[in-house]
Amino acid sequence: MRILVIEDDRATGEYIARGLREQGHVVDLCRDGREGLIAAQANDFEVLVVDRMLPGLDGLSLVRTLRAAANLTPALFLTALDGVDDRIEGLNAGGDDYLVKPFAFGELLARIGALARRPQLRDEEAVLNAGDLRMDLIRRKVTRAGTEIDLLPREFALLECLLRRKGRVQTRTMLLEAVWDLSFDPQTNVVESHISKLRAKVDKPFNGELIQTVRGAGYRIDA
Amino acid sequence: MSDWRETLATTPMRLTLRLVALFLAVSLAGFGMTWWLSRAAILEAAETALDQQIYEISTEGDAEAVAQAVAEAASRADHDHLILRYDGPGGMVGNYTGPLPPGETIVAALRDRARDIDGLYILRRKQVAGGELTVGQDADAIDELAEVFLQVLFFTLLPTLVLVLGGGLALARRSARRLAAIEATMTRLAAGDLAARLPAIPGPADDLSRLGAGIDRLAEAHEASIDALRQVSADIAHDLKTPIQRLELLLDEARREAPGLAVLDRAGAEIEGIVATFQALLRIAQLEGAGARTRFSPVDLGAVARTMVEVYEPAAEESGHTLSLTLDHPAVIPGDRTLLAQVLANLIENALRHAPPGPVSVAVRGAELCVADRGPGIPEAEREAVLRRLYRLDRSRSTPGNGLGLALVDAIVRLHDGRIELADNAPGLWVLIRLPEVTDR
Repeated sequence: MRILVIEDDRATGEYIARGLREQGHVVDLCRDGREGLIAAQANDFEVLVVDRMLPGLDGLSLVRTLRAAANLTPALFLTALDGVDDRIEGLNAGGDDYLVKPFAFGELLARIGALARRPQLRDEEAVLNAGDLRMDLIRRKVTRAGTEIDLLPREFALLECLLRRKGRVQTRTMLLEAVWDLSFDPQTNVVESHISKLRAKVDKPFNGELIQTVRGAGYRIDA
Repeated sequence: MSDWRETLATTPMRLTLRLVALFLAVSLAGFGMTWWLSRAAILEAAETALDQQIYEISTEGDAEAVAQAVAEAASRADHDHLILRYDGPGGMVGNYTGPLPPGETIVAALRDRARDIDGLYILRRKQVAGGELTVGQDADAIDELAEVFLQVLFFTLLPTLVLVLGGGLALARRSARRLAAIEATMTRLAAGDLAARLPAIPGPADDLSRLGAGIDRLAEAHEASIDALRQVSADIAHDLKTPIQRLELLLDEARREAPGLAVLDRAGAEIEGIVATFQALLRIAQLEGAGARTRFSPVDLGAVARTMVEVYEPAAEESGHTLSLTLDHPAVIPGDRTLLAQVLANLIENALRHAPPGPVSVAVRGAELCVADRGPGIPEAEREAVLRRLYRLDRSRSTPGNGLGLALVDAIVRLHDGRIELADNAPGLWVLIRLPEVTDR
């Protein structure tokens, strides 16, 4: 996938670019806001990674300008600011996700993965599938190999989240946001604990590991 | 009603009322003085005329002649205008026989039904030929004077009074409105709305508009300095986080090159600690600068408490604590959900961290949040201090944490106009947070 990284810190930008290239992505790197805007408009990227504080033109204005010009390339903000309003400001400016520095590379990779090829929001979809697992969103029923599985509401939400983004890694923080609606990390093992309960119900009795742990990143259900 | 009472309690209104009272006092004193002088002049003229008559009668000779002259004059006199009376050795003669007050010059209301005498008279009494001669004339002049004075009072003083009071009241209300606008702006400024400015005041510049302009200048300077402070925090955040970010990425790389090296995980944990402290400091600074209030929306305290208890349940289980939740008509209050969740997160985390295994209870009663544990508690003398940033109890120095948890809680609670109370749970710590159920905004 072709990714544009706009990051003024040379070392960080280069690490990100190198890491993404190692994952097989094609990466363009800009260190200046104006330069980044021109690059974003001139080429067709699948994801933009934009630092909020940039020389020349700040990240918010950059994305706002792109959106005003009907450029809807998914944008992920990188920021040193984790204030009450900063996240909302970023999303209001047209950003699609928001990652607070410092972040682990795995987190960035997972979020880029979630942004690219974003499903066309098929919210009306009533049934989610993965292998022999079936989730009926209307009857709130989960079956695997024809056997019904009893899930608590949070477990259901957790499984739904993984199924909706099938094939892509969901990190702890992404799951905390999606399932518990928490935009800060409470530093507990709540995600791990629920994943293990979910596995005990969904994977263990069926001898087939659907929910994968991705080391240093998060969890994934393979497509 | 209360509006008028408030107007009455304003400085301009008080000044107006005082001026009106002063004006009234001076006017009445002037009127009284004039009245007294005019009346004295009338009396003097009357005395002179009456003395003349007394003198004429006294020249008649002895008591009998005097009595005769008096009787004669009295029979000719119109008793409405002239009273004559002689109390001589031979008895009383004259056209008035009623009672008379004592004195040489008398102003008295006389009444004699038989003779149809009823009115105010000026009388003069003198010893004449062994008797007492009293001559009087009607006091119509004084009556008329009184009437004129009353009219003057009615047609000049009263309208003036009404005008002054009305004008004063209008002016006072105008000033009161301006002062109210100034007060409202200052309240908003104090509440952290740094963009608050006074509305334009119509009319010529005066002391109040100068005061308003001064407040606006002050607010502007304050806003500029807060903005500068915010910029500095943002710059610091950026400048410090960039190297931390590089460190983090270097660690990632190191982990990939040497997987399973435990020291790298320890280094990672240290970085997390630095970031957490840094983040909390920045957040407290930002909350104290306020402005976050604009994002307030209805928050269901019960739902937040349920989520946070659920989130900490696994951790509590692991550490041997039992986390319980009591909901008693939980309120929906205007607030920031993430921040309120952070409050509960910090309080629960503190309880799990500092209290030995045992019960930790979370309760929501209306708009009150309560977290209680059975741990060592906080000595009363230090309860204020633990709300300060980076303050740590001596015995807590060995446990993880950065001394910012309660300071952050305090900042969030204050942003929500709430109050925090630390008490003894005998044993343990009992934290009560009272949030306002409905704000005035």
